[in-house]
Amino acid sequence: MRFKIGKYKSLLVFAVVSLIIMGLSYNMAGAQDFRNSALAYNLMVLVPEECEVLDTSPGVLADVEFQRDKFGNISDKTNINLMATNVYAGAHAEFRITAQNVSDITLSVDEYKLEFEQSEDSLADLIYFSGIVKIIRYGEQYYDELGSFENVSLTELDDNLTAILKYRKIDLKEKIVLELNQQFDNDQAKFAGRTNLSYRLFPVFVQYFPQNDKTTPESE
Amino acid sequence: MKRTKFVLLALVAAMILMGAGYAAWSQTFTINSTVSTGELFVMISDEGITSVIVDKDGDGDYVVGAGETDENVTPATADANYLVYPTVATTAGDTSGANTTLAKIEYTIDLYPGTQVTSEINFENLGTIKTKQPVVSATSGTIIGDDLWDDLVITVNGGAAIDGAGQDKLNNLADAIAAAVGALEPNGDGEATVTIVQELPITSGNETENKESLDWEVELTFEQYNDLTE
Repeated sequence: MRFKIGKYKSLLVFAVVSLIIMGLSYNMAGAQDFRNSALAYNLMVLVPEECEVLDTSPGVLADVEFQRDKFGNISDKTNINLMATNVYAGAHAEFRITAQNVSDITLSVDEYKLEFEQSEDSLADLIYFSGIVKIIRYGEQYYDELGSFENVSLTELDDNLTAILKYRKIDLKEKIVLELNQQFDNDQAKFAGRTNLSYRLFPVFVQYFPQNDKTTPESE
Repeated sequence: MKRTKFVLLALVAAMILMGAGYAAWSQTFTINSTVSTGELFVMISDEGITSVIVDKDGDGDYVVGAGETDENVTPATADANYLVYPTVATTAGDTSGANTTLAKIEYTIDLYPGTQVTSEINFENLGTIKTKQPVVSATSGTIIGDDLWDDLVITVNGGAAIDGAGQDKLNNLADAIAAAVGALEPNGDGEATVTIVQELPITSGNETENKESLDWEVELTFEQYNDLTE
């Protein structure tokens, strides 16, 4: 195929080729280092010392766990397991989850995603969430409360968290704290045949880009 | 037209690659959460009939020993004392159903005036959840309108004699058993022994003559202890 390459076409071709090379090179570098870069290349990491069980109902056993290697060292600070056993009607378990911006860029939360299994013996519709989201700033001198929620069902949890955190700036070294309370329905009869629940939340952190607010007055 | 298509294709390719590049600057955490209920199981067992005493001297004290003529009847000596040895049966907890354990106590007794039957029932919470005082329901068996039942003097854990007659008396007995069991701590720490004494007084009159035997049954439903309602 023959065609004339004008001045503007050449610029376009150059831009496309540049992007291709950039994308390929980044992906190749990322794939090569993936196995060893879980801690070194993360934008946000969990702070294990500040991830804990805050409160439980009597008899409820709760704990937070991280993936560890054979020496007992935490091998992945982007994955946490919140466990609550022996729950019953009216019981609750409250957790604190703290994550810190360890990158060189300002971050934000793009969204929270939720996954859970729905089965006949699932407790999914018997659990409600309350919580507070805080940000700890300036070397932990003080914190701001970004938002809170109460009596949110499991299916609404991701949207509520997204609404609180989306577009919020997380500067370097700042910490995001989520205090999450799992409260179970008070009606014992509803627990007939229900024994367990497993769900996963996936907060997605992205680079922060300021909103275009220079020409519009600041809202409250 | 060819030039336009080429430009469009190039733009699409560039956008795709920009997306891929942008995705590299994002990160996803995983917050896993697992929740499970505990196990509710109360084991009921019985020591069976621990004593059957015949008040041979008619003094109403049912004391066996030196200087006493009252006799502790055994299955082997029941015939000689013109008794059918009483029975008690317990049904262990059933964990099917709504987070409850169902247990059952069934008695068959055959007494004449001046006989006392003592039995012990054990309750042990082997589950992982604390239980409340059980909810009881009583099945009357053959007792309704039965003079033998109405004359029977029954005590639970040495308390006051169960009052009432017929079904009311049986309901009161069931409530007394439930109160004696009470709430039970989990993991084997919660245990209760209930001693039930049934006596047909020697003063029982002709209305109980020729009464063969009676049976009664109490069902206990154990439910989880709930801090918010207790």
